[in-house]
Amino acid sequence: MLKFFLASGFLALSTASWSDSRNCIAKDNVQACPNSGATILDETYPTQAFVISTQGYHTGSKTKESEDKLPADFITSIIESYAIDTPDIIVPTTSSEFQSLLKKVEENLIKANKSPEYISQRLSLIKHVENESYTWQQDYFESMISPTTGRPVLREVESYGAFSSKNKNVALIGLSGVSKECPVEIGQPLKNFKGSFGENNKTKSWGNGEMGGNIEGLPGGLCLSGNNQAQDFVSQYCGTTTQDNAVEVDVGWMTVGHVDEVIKVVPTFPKKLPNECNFTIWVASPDAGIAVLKQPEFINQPFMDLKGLTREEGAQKLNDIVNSKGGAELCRLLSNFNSDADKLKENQPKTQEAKGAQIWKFLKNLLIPKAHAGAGVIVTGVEEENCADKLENITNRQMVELMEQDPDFMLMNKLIQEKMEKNKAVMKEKLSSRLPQCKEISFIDVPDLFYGHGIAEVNGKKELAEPGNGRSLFPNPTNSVLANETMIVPQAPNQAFNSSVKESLVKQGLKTSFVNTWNYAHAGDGNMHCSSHSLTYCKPIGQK
Amino acid sequence: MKYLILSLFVSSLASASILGPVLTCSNKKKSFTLEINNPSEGSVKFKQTRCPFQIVEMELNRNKVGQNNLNVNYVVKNCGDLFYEKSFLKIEENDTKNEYIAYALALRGSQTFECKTSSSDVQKLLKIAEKK
Repeated sequence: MLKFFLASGFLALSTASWSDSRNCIAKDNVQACPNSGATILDETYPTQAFVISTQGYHTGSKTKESEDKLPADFITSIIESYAIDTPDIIVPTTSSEFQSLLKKVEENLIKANKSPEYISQRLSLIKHVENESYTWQQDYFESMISPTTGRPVLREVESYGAFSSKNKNVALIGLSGVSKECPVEIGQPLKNFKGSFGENNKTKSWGNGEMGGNIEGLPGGLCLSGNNQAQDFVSQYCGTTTQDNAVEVDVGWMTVGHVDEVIKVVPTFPKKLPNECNFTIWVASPDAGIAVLKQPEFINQPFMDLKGLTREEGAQKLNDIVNSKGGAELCRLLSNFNSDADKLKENQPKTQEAKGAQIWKFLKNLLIPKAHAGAGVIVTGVEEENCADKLENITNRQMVELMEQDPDFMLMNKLIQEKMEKNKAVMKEKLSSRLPQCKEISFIDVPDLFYGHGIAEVNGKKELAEPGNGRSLFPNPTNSVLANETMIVPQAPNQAFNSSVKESLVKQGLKTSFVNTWNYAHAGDGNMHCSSHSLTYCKPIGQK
Repeated sequence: MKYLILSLFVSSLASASILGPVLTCSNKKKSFTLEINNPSEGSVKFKQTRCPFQIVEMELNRNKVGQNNLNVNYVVKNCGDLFYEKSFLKIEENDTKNEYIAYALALRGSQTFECKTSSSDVQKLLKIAEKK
């Protein structure tokens, strides 16, 4: 009898360590941890804590946007996504930046008419870790899990040199010490296998391969691996080669080259299918990018969405875009565009009579000189527009025409689409084999157009250069962050793109919260996911 | 007249001796050199053929702890079929400062090449990029 009581007491204790943790978030329906040998979770798993950056890429740039606007907006979106069980929001930064950020979040919540009690309670979830602030919170460590506790285990990426070892150390210690009730461990660093392109791909990574944004989970206990990662690097968290959990996708054609720039696992709600099958895989699609611009409801809409902005805000937004790398590409495409000439083309007379009237108008203008400043000659043309003006005036239809007339732009995007199709095929094969109970693996093509400079041709076949310099024109939709049942999406400056992403989310039972990351992260070739980190958790196998 | 010839000679000597940073780029089968003279111009040379190029973009990214990444996009015109018209050079600072890895897309019929140069030439290159 005593043995029985002792045993049941022990059993009660062991279950209590999982499901009865104080206020540590636990849901009854949390998925079981993978039993594949992989210790990285995909993004259908819930988040225990968010790590947020406060160092925008745009420090010292020409924009008037304040540095803490994006972090404050991001945190506000996270807070508003949870009614209960809001995860910790951890901000590694200096004390003064932290205080300034808190104030801004408070202002956001007041503007949203939240009660003082709500505001006070939510602000208490925002935790400070004293450290130098840093933009790319995704990259210098990765959040794995302990198979025995299901809780996050943070592992430093040893080869990541852009953030000093000291700062990495301080950050991880800080993150692990934030909450006693919701444990986060520090695990062994991910060892350095960095080499250069062309070396043995079993033992050598290249480019930016060894970074957190390139370390992502797939359902079924699989891992996404960039083709710029050494197999030995991947084996440190993805199980052994024999366990065959790694799914390699081609990302080396991009300037950064991370899987989170082009692929994302997105959960579906409500959960109708077997638990492990409620997801889609989002894949960046240039074809979808062109298609959304041509949709009848958007084709004649302005390419740049300035709705709801004051004249000054609109001018600032255009200025920010024009002064960025993506903006330089747009301006290059626009260099042959003249909005008045295009209007003339649109207004081409269709009847003989109308043509005659136009010729007479032309002759009249020729005989009567226009009054231009400094003009001593007859000018019938129009004044040259600057890029910002063209961007303001151009429609989706006109922009698509310019893109389709640029053979290099179209070829690059065609080659990228082909790569994405191959990536989909590789993922589908592995996922179908690992999850035969999931009758269909769904892929969603999300609009994303890319640009770069230079395409290789080998044995008569055009190829994307690798290591390459491909970049996303607009903030990558796959670089979003899931908060409960809301996707926090980096906002494109184009309504058609945003509408398409939102529509995909609605179909998956998810809400959308757009944030403007253009200056903060997109200008630095990263985005929402790159500048944050979600510490996810699971239910240990065998636990009820 | 003699003075004119002498000054032309001296000036041609001077320009010949001003060499920009030079990188030697190779794959398993071929190699070429790439030279950057100033923020707007450079040249590529394969065997006996040298072709000038115009730099359309020279982008130097320096992150918070000073790690450098340099992207040079350039255009080669009127050089037959030897070089791609649109090409690039990428230089990435390794984790240890003063160690760099460079890649270039340049020779037709090939993918990118790995490039090597001296650390002093990398510093010259970074200085040129800062002026762009």
